[in-house]
Amino acid sequence: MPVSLDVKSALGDIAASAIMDTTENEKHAIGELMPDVVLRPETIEDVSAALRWANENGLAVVPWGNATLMHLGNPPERYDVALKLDLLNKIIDYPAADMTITVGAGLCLGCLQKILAKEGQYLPIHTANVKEATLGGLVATNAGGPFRFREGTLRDMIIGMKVVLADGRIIKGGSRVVKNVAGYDLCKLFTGSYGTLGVIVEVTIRLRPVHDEEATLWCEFENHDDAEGAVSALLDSEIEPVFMEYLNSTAAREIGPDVEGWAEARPVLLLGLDGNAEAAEWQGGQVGALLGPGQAGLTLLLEDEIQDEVRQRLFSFRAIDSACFIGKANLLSSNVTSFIKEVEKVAVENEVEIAAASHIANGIVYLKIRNQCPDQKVITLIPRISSHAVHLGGSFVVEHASPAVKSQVEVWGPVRGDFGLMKSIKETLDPNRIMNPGRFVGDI
Amino acid sequence: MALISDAHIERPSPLPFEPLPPPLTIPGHLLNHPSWNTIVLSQETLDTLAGIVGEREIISDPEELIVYECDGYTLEKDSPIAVVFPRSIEHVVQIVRCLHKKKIPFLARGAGTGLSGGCIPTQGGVIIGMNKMNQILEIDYRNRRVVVEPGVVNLWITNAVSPKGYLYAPDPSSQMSCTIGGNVAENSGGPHTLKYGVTTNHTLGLEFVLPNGDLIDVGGKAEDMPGYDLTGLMVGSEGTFGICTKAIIRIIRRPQTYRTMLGVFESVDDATQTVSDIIAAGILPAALEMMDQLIIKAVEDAFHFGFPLDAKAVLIMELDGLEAGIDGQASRIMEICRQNNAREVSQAATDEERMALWASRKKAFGAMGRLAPNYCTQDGVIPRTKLPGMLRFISKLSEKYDVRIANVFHAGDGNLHPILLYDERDADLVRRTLKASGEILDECIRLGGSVTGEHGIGIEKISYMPKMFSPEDISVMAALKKIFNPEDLLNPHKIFPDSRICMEPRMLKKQVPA
Repeated sequence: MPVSLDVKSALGDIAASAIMDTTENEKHAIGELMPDVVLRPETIEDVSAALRWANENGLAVVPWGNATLMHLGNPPERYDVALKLDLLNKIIDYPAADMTITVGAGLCLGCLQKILAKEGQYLPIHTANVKEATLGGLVATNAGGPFRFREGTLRDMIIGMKVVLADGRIIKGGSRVVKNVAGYDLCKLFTGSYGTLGVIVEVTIRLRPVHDEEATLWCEFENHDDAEGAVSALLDSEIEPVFMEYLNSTAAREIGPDVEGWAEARPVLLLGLDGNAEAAEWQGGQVGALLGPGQAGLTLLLEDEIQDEVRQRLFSFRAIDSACFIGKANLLSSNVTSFIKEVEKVAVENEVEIAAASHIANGIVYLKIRNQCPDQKVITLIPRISSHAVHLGGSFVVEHASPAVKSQVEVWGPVRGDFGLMKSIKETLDPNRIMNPGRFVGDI
Repeated sequence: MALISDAHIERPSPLPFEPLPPPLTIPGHLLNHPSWNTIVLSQETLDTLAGIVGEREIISDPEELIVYECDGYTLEKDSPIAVVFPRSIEHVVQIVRCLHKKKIPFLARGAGTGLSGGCIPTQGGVIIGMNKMNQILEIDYRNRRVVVEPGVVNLWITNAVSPKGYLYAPDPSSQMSCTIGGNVAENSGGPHTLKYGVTTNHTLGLEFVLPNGDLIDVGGKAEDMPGYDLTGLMVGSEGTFGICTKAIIRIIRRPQTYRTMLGVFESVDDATQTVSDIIAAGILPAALEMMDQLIIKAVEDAFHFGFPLDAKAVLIMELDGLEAGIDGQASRIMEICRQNNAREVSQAATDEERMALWASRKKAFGAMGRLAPNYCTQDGVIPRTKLPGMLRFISKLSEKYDVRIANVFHAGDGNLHPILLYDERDADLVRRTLKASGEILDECIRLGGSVTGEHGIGIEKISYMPKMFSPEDISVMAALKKIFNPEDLLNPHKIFPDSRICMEPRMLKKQVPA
């Protein structure tokens, strides 16, 4: 029986208004899968009612913000209900002087930043599509961005949340204060759980004051080894950059500004020196002195529109528009350049161009193939790259690829010794496996 | 950093807050409780344990076990039946397997500096003392990672890496003795967590032994290992999920410079308003601590630092970071102090002055013994802007119940440590003290805060869990515990109301330093 037929009666009045026209189903497809019904709850209670109903009927639910990261993970094993949360977008409490905010999970990051900017505050998260990316989705995927070098990821900023579990129970973790050790830290469990344990409906986040000045340095290198030497020296110095981003030459061409004759085909280290003007200037001098005349090919201070343009492109690197493949390696910082070297070797052998942009101080590398690339080629590349990452003590996750590719490779890489515990947690919180079934590690 | 501490462990005879168990008489139903002190360690088990660690690494003599009856929370006590000291992961695994097989409860203990009773053996189980697994296994400066065994003392890490200009950021009060295993269990904080975050923000991976003896690795040296954040879940689980045998932690570069300032105020209101205004001005100090007049007097009597005795409150405010531009920020802080009627604002001119200032803060708790025979400390947290009202509330409570309350706390985080002074020989005062304490925590909850910012629930604050969390919230936590610790053999009767059993009250017995 088509689900949509009995959903109205089953849900009763509480969420009848939330049922979307069946034409919406198509818009909520994931790959080749389409839901039978799209629900758009207005309140947390509606979410609870919807999940209770889905759980009782064994219907698989995909929580849905604005789908900017919906390509992550395996396609769902089953897909009956799209639970669209964009109406849960209220500012619930913003005591600006406390530097915390409580918002509905459907609020988009761009909207949040605008509200915070009025108070001279911001959330140090940068991602592509800020106008669409919702807090719920960003928390579910533990988003970060270049500033994670100094500020960490959302895991380090979330101080409280409300979650609706598969059986409709509404629970909270944490509170609205910046320091709290009462009970288990449930926020950590749900942050980065990719919607497989429950639906995040509300979050409380601690904020940061905006910096007086933004400053970005563009440092080019002859080769990866020189770059590693420089990164190593900079990390051991007294400078306090807000970000340290290492790009291979392909990524540097993509992210560099549209200035004629700008981009040499060289790897680039981008340094964010935000803070007060005096500190930015001092740090710029330090970087110049540390890199020395022989090491860096070229070091430039990016100004005004060029800086804005480069930062925008840097933050948007992970967007899937026109990319046919995106993957993420997590490694030790010191292994990043050698990993990229290996990736480039594999790329040359397979005659593809792979852009690599990394939060180098954190050891996180994003790989991207922009142009069309035959599936078979991608399928050949992935195991080689993945095994190299694992060999270096890290792992490799396929974030975006065609359904054909994803079905042929291990999207999350091999599971580890702690998978048994993860599975038990999933079974405890979602025994009927209705929450995003099959999407996360080990097809959980 | 090393000098900054609350020095909770120096306190003389604390009586932390919790509704008192029925004094001095054990209710009949407890005497008949099936698990009440019925656990005995057979000679066979003792021999097995001795076979694992060696005869000399086991304590089972009742006299020697007294030290292990409690931690920094001394109101409730129970004696373990034995204490075992493993020296390797393999030892821990074998000990746990043995105890699991015999269904004997057990728990891990570090330095015993905890303040909520987290390592009290509530059923007289076996304590696994982790102190002898105390090696720093690896220091990787390039990647800012340190791998340690659980018995490594917090301060040792900073001491080990400071010659190269690095430090380990979480700096709890007891950092000179508390261990990383305990820090991980309690998610410990400290004054500098205002800027740098608590233990969980600096822990990347853990190795631990589950209550059935399985050895599990979570997280790793690399960040973002795919899967649920079990490291984040483990940190702060108060030793109820597993026994940590190894931790991968992050070190940070030592800031280039510090500016440490002292503001002297004529009223508590002015001082707390200053804290709120500094935070609201978008300044992120490294630490922001407050002491009120009672504390100032005690510190002054004891250590003659030079604080004005007539001041109603002082603020210790510290900035750290780059030399360039830091004086501009310091001026703004001092300006905010003056706008709030600070009588005096001064800046530590030398490193020695800075250290002396922090030493005075550190010794505050140690000086409390001068004010009253007994005291107890709370650990509530409120939104930072609510500090002025909260301090007025505490002051009213002090009048209402005629209990002296001193305040020394992490003001920048909104993490209060009100110290209620009493004399345990005055039963009515004890009762009033407990009432005032309870009302403080209720107010923290009412303001959207927490009953504990860094000390943990343990045994002490179990009765506040249902006030902070709904039955659904607690049911989820309990379900998680069941996954890791299905038979409740590891550190039983902690955190959750249902699991609580009353213990033998021995408050009039001579207290033994933990």
